[in-house]
Amino acid sequence: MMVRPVDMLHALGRITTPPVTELIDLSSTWAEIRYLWAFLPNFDGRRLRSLRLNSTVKDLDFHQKTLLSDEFGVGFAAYFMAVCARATDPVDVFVAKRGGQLRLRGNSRRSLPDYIFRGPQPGQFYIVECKGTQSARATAVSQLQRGTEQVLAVDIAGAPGVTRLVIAAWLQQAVTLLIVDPEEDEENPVEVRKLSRWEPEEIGIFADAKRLTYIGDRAAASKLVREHLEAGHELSFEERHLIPRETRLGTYLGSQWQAEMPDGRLLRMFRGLDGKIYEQIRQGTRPAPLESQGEIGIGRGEGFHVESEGGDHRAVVRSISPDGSLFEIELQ
Amino acid sequence: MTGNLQLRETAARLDPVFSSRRSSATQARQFLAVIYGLEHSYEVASWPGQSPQTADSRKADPAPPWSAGGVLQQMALQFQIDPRSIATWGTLALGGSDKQRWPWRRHFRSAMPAAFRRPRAHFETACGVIDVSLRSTAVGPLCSERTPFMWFTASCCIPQSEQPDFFANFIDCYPSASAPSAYP
Repeated sequence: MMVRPVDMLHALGRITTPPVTELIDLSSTWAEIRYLWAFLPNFDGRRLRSLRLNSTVKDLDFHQKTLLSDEFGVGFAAYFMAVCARATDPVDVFVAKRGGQLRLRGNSRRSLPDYIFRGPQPGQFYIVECKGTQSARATAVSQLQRGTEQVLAVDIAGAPGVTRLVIAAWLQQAVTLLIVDPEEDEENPVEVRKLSRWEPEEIGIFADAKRLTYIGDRAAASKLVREHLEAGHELSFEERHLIPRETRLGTYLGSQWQAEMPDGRLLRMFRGLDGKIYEQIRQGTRPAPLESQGEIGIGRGEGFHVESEGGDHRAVVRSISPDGSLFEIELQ
Repeated sequence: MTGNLQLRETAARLDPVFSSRRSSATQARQFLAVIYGLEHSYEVASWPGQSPQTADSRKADPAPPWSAGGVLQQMALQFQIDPRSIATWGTLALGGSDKQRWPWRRHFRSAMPAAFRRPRAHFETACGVIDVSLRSTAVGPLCSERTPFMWFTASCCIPQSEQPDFFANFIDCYPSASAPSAYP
């Protein structure tokens, strides 16, 4: 599998954006910026290299290292699902808790898997648990084992095709993804207590809310999921004016954030959504992935489209996902 | 050459250390070099493969997941392991049909959850009794006595290069076993 770091970070940023931002959820945003530095760059563009983490990752504090491993596990799984499984609409499984479906107590939240994705076929869904470690391979394998229990704890009402996957990123030396698909025996089903049950329609609504929150339109996201959240969780947001960004694939709408980097340069991040898809979501129609609109070709071997610019003391790298989101990094 | 040449030239002009082409941690701390590195393609190994099988495709095509190339043979090896009759490995591994393989797999899968919580000594399968009470130390590079289930899942996709070690260790744990007459 070929991966560009910017695409993996894009996938990580998208999937870790909550459907509705609460104060506490701010901590889960902008993961893509936090780990810009974490890859070992390939300075010899003529040769293909394995993706490796920057050696400074080893010097991180234990807790930071664990967080990085966890988040990279999520990012690589999100990338894998988008490119290899052609899945879209990731939704955080734990959000169902807020919908009052089932009160989870104690450690039961830890028994839930991470995400639900919509597959490319009608009625097809994936339930995915993401793992990541920089420890020995045996640790990654143990994580897979634990994951196979977690992915059984969620159900999707009436879905004819549900595939459960555990994806572990083993981050020691070159990055390796370990993937298992624990099979359910339909004739002798295993009794596992379902902790969360989703309706297919809810998945679409929460996925769209995540997209809107990703580009900074929190007011629209909040409006979209309001009736699905428990009372007391609503926050009111001001309408936000979205900024247009022109790319070779069309106009994207979104918002930007900037900061001064330790070496004195200015780093700017833009997160956007295809203008047509944005309008479809606002009008309440389900958007089709760009791929099916013929604008991005997974058949060409890449799920993401990348553009870059250099010159005049400025470097820009732009990643566009198959489902129409844009992540742009600019350094000046 | 991969990547944007113009971007690379800009990076080299602005950041002398970048143009030295020595990839080191120091260079990676240069943000411009970091940006340059982001747009490159890198290889990420995936195990056992890239294409997850879906519930639908399983019904339509009961081939093992990730069955491309050598992986199919590796899976066949797993399904035919019978500690009491190791000699059958080779034959079945090379000649086993889906009919022989699949009931075996399904049976094992349905037994998995019990194995998590209370490791069971044996699984009775259509192909014989499978001992998973791994009381000795590791029985392969991916196994431990605490994870009998993973012993099986892992062994279904042992990389070709690790197979000799796997079988050597397995036979150490089951002295009555003999080496398979042939395996891929």
